[in-house]
Amino acid sequence: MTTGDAAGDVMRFGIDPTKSSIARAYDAALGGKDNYEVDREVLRQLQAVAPAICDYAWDFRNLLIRITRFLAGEAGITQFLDCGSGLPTAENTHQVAQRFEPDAQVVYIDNDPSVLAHGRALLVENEATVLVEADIFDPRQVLDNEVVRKHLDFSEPIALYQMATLHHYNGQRSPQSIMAEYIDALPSGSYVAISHYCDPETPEELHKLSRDIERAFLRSPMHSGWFRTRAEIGAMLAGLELVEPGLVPCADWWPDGPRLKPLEPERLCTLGGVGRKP
Amino acid sequence: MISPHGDAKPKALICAVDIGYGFDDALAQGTVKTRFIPWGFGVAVDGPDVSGGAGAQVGSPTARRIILGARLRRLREAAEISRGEAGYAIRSSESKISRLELGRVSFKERDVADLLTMYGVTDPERREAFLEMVRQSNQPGWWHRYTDLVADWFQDYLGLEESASRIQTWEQQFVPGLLQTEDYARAIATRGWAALATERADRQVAVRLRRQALLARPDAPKLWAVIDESVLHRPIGGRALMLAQIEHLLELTKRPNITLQVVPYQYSGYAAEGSFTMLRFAERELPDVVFIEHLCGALYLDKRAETELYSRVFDRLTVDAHTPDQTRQLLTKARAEARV
Repeated sequence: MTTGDAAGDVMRFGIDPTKSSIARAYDAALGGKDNYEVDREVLRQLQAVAPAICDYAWDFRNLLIRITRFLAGEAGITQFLDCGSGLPTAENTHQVAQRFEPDAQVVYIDNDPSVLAHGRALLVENEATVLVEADIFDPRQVLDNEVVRKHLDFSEPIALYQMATLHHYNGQRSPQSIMAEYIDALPSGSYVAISHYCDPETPEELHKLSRDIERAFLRSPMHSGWFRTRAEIGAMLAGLELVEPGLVPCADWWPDGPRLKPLEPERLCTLGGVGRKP
Repeated sequence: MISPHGDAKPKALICAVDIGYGFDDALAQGTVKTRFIPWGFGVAVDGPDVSGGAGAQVGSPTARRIILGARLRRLREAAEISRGEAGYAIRSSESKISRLELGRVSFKERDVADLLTMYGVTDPERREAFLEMVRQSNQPGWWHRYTDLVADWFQDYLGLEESASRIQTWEQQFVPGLLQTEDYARAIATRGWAALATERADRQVAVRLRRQALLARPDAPKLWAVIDESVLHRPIGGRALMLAQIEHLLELTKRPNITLQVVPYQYSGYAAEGSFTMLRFAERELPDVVFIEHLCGALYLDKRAETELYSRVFDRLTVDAHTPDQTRQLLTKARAEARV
């Protein structure tokens, strides 16, 4: 429910067929079927500058899965706050976490009306999993939410995710200060995972490529996707101890096995990793 | 005749099926091309009779035929052979190849063997895999025992429903077929007239209940149903029967694979779309399909531009509707009111 109190407010959810949704464009890149022509158009425009754009999207998804495995398994985390759930896909955070710890509490946050409707129908399949409507770039909205408070115990370690989300934010307040407020609210022993589009700065080819992709994102019907530097992304995890190997291209964070061929250049234009709050 | 929605229709009593303005608009704008589907899928019954459990396999004969067709098309295109040339090779026509590749008619082993040869598939194991698919696609589904009362087009629907990984349905007038109690289904089959409570009606109800078995399968599809609020207040079969139906909905919506959302009165009048059902398949080869019932049968849409239009409508309905939790509260309230 977005707005909609007055009797005259009939169309609560305008669908603008000329605008792509971030969630649906990811779904298209991941080979899902919950996307529209305009979302596939975003993909085609990106493919023109970065042919491996689908692998690029998979790198983000697979990183989320590997990090969840690490946190639920090795680190023994049982509470997850996943900001920006996106459309349900084959393997979602709660499925991975609850394989290790069936009672793991997973709270998804999103504010796209269609993502919320899909999530309530297709994602929330047990008592330990909830989906909350809030703006993930407004930490107070998330942290003060009643349902979030009810499902997560803020005196015990929590894993907080901002994965493939902050690069779709370009608001007034800096992403670093948003993350600082989240981190401040977490108890010691908590983990924060992020992944982000990155401008590697050097070598020159990668710097140029990352800015070409950024332009393609911003010109596409999605109008979103900002590339930041290692220093800018690193500052989002200020005060945390980075888990080995630190912030690296998403595909290089504890890959599942050996690699037989080098990564395509665009796949080097991401950074992801996990930090632990001391 | 039985159909996916609320609806066993004795031929003597025709009930009006509303095709909404949204669809008419799309037609007027030329964005939707309709195809009526007298495909005669039912003609494919030449295998042995198969008892109830056959539908529980992944992929019904209907779905297998569509997948097989898509694979043959890719082979033909890779071999750079035209539909006309391929048609000639099997003593047939370009349009026959077109129908085969869309999975709309049944395959003969001999034809597929000839096509494989023409497309350069010589590996015996690979050929055998294709021919095995032909045999499987010609196995009858469980509904073929009811061919006397299940219309051809609805057999197509059943074949696809069995294979769906997700079923999305918008229903304005009835509780969706998969969620009906036996009594509710019977009340519709007999139009509430004792005189119509015949053996035929019993068998129609049996088809409905047999269909519902798919929701309890280990690999059950996800059912995402959106209904108009009026459905809860339309006392089909009388108040006691409706109360039992509401209790049944409360029970079913506890299952993780069943989601029900009610569109409140204040939003539903504007939607203007008639009831429809969308089927989604796990297989990449299978496009989403939309079924819309009308008086003479059903429309079946599978072109992306068409299904996308319905997808967007369904998206909007799910956003306008009460959430699944709110819907359960509404059902609890309706149950309390029905008990008074």
